[in-house]
This record gives sequence, C-alpha cells and structure tokens, in this order.
Amino acid sequence: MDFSWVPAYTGLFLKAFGMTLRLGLIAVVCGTVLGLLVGIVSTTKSRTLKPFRIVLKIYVELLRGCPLLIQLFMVYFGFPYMGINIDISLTTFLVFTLYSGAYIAEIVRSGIESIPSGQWEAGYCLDLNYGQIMFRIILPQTVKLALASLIGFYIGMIKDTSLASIIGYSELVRNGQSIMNQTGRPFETYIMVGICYFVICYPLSKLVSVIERKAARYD
Amino acid sequence: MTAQISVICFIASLLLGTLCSIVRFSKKPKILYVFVSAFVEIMRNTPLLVQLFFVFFGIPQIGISLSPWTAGVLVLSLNSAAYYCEIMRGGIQSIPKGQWEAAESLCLSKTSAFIRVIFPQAVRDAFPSIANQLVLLIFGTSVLSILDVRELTQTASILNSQSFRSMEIFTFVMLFYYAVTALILLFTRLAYKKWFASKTERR
Repeated sequence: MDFSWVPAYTGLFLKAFGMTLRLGLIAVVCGTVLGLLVGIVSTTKSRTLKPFRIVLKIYVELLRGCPLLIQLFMVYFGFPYMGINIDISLTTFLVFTLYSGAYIAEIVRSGIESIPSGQWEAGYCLDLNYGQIMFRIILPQTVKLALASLIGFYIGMIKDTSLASIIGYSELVRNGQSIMNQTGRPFETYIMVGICYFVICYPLSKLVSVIERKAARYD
Repeated sequence: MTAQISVICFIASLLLGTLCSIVRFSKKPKILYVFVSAFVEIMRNTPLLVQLFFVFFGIPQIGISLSPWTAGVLVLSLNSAAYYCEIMRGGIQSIPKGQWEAAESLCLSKTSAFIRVIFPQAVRDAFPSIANQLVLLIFGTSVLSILDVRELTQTASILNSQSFRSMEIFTFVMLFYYAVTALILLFTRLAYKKWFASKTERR
C-alpha cells in the first residue's frame, strides 16, 4: 500500500477532476434546461401541441429504458456510420444532455402533475394566463417538491460521467487507467479515483437528506 | 447471459441489502453498524465503473485474482446491495411507531415483531423502489461489458466491430433493453395490485 507517487501525479488528477466536473456540470445544466422544457410541454393539454407531446413521450421513454452505455455507443459508433462526424467532447456532452434531459423531464412532469388542480383553478380565477400560472405558481412548488430527487439525480449523473471514459473522453477513470499503467499500482490508483468521486458525491447526498428533512417539516 | 447475471445479482443483493438495512436500522452491534454504514456510503458515492476496475485491476495487486465474470457479479451485487440497504431502511423507517408498540403489547419479541409485522409492510412500501433498482441493476450489467463479460452490450460491441452496421445493431439492442424494462415495470404494477393493494390501507 504505497501512496508515495501521489504528489507527483496531483496535477494530472486535478486536470482529470476538472474534466469530470466539466462534463457533469454540462450534463446537469443543459439537462435541467432541456428537462424543464420537455417536462412542461408534456403537461400541456392543447391539441396543437399533441404531435410534440407524442414525440417527447417516445424520447423520454426510450432514453430512460436503455442503459447510458448503449446510448453512448450508439452515438459514438452510429453517427460516423450515418455520415455525421463530431468529436468526442461534443458526443459525450450531447449524449449526457439528452439522457439527463429525459430523466429530469420525468421528474418535472410528475412534480407538475402532483400539484393539486386547485392551484390551476385559483390561477384562472385570478385571470392569469397559462404562462403566468406556470411560472409564478406551479413551478416554484414543483421545484420545492422535486428538489431532493433532482439533486439525487445530479449525484447519479456525476457518477455516470465515469462511463464517458469508455469511449475515450479524458476524465478521471481514463486518466486513472493511464496512471495505473505508468505506476503499476492499480490498487492505490483506483482508491484515489474513488476518493475523488466520494469527495463530490458524499456532501451532496448529505445535502439531499437535509433538504428532505426540511421539506418534510411542513407536511 | 445478461438475464443470468441479473438474476444472480438481484437475489444476492436483495438478501445482502436486507441484512445490511437491519443492521443500519437497529444500530445495535456497534462495530458492525460502523462497518456496514461505511460500506454503504462508499458503494453509493463512487461510480460502478470505478468499483469494477478497483476489484478487477486493483485487488490482484494484493494477491486475489478473480475472473471477469466473478468480479463483475461480485461488484454489481455489492453495489446494488448498498442501494437496497437504503431502500429497505427507508421502508422500515416509514412504518409508524404504533406498529412496533402494538406488536410489543401483544408480547411479540423484537425479532418476531420485525419478521411478522414490520417487514411485510416495509416490503410493500418499498416495492416500487425495489423494482426500480432492479432496472438499474440490468443497466449495470451493460457496464460489465467493459470487462469482456459476454453479455448484451458486449455482444453488440463485437458485432459492431465485425460488421460495422452500428445503427441497426444498437437500435435493436436499445429496443431490446427498453422492452425488458417495460416488461419489468408492467409486472411490478400487476404484482403490486395483486399482492399488496388488496390489503387494508394503513393510512
């Protein structure tokens, strides 16, 4: 159990850590924006939007019913096959955004649908239009309901970024593999990699339990 | 092969997770509680891939070397057991104190009360989460393909490198996984209605 090589590789670890965080942040931010949009559109009832709703429903169901790895392979191998050539970073950002968008859309949709319809009726009584009701009344309540599961999902997302290393995106696990090959000490390498992930995820999961406790206080 | 791994890991992780949840809930054997808590927190806060590489590449360094299949099944079971521990613990803790007190007033020992009164209700509460975690377990088997375990994702990968018909292969695999997931969720809903919902609601 020899950790003496760690200080020499700190720069590499930090760089890989940054790449992981970058992917995680993009997946989280873009996925939330996409998910919010998709979730809100899924709950509309107008007939003109029906084709959109069907397409979005298929998107959400497919991307949630299939492992992330398959989706990564599909874009990474499939797109060049169909003639579209994009580089690795863009591939991973795309796949992770779509994947997290699907899950967040489901969380948002179930959150919006669990708000009692009395809220909608009260809004219409006060002569507010759809947009005003949605953004000033419904969404704030949805966010409060869904915050715990959203942050829980973000934690899962950060852990899933490790899968991007399989298609070559240079993040923690990938760099861990090259460090392991250089130092010949896989045991300590992966302990260090695991500690990096643990350091991000554990505080977030404690945050989730705090939020859950606070939210339950008013029920 | 995917089904085989999934079933083995599901049963193993459910059993282990239930045991761990009992320990975590009762907090009694202090050393065991600390050990189990640490295990669960570590398994839940590190990615599956890192755990897999740690067991497959790291453990041989201290002497024990495992075949890819064994390492994969072991890691997946342990990882899933950590999640099941939390799920079951949540289920157990959501049972109102009244149930424990009623069992005590009927002279049931703590163990008896747990097995006959609390546990069935906890399973009923946690059933959707258990099914959800099973779906995540099946997705986890696709990660095992990295270690050259011959399951669905790996087969797709191999076919892809042989014939290069990427889109068709992966679309087929995607639809296959989706079908399996949909079947499991359907079965869960039916099973829930048949086994659990007919009993008198607690609330």
